[in-house]
Amino acid sequence: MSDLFVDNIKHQSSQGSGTITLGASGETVALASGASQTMAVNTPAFEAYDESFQSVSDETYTKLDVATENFDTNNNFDNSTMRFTPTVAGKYFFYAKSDCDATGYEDLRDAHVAFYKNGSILTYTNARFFQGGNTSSGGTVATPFTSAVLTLNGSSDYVEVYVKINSQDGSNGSATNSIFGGYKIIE
Amino acid sequence: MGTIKTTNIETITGSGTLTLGQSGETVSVPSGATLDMSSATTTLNSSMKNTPAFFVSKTSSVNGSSGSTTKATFNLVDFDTDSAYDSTTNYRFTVPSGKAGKYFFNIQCKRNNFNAQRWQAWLRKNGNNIAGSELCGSNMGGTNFQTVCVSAIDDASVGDYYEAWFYQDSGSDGGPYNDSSTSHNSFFQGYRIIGA
Repeated sequence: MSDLFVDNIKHQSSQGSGTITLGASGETVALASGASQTMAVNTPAFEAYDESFQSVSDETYTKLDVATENFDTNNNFDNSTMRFTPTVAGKYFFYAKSDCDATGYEDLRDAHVAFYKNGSILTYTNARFFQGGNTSSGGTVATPFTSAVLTLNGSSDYVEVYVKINSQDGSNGSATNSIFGGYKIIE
Repeated sequence: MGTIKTTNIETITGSGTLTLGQSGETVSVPSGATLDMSSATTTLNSSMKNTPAFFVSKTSSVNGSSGSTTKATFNLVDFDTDSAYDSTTNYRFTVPSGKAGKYFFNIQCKRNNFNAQRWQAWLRKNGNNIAGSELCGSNMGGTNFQTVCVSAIDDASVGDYYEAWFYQDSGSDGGPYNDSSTSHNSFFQGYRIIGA
């Protein structure tokens, strides 16, 4: 075994271009135990939620007011605008859900949860009751859940989550126990 | 500061291990440089993997009593990288030694064709609900295979355990539907996310 004590390794001739090759076929290039190097991480990552009852209008997409952060590794989630604007470009996995209800008893027909990118709807999930309204005796609640992988530019692209309800009589409703989270996929 | 200018570094013998750095040091690649490992076989440190990871289901439906919250006894293990999911006794994922961190969990429960007013799925941590989903007022008539899903990321310590639970009030036994080892209508999965 031979040790080499050095701080920098640079390309022999070009210093700023070219390729420095470590090892040859059959050899293993390893970091010593205890030496640190960060190669791949699922960050930025965040999760935000709201346990209060947020008012939502019938047949109108309403942004979820998920202002409480569970965590936010890179401070990329703005809990005043409810926008996640990552500072690292790449593909991100997102998930969201909300417990949706209509004001009128037994009145919920369906509930959507949707991802918006830069202000426009991209994907949504619809939890739908029996067509024509619901006749259950114990009220109506639905938890639409959705997930998606979205490509973001790491500077201006942002993602929000919205809900929409459809009530039998056109009355408004509420969303509660809402969760919005996501993290970067390693590419 | 010492600098070596070269294009190739190999071991003396042409085999074995070429070691970079020592304990306490940081090996870095400068901004603007590219570390190209596209044609190398790469073995990652455990902290750089999305593990522990598991996916469990069942070949048949789980039944629970009406009006009670019941643990989903998923006992069919598709994978369990760190043998951290107990598929025989407690039906729970326990964070192994050295594997604390933030974990992504996901539960899907498809109703086994029964009438119920309330149909819920819950993620429990150390016996307490931390995330849930519900279809309430879900007596549809006809077939009843409505599905509830819930996901969450949670900061987990070694020894914390996570379980999938469900609730239904159909008036008789019922629960998450499964009918084979491959279709995975109802399941519980999770994995650690890196660096969060």
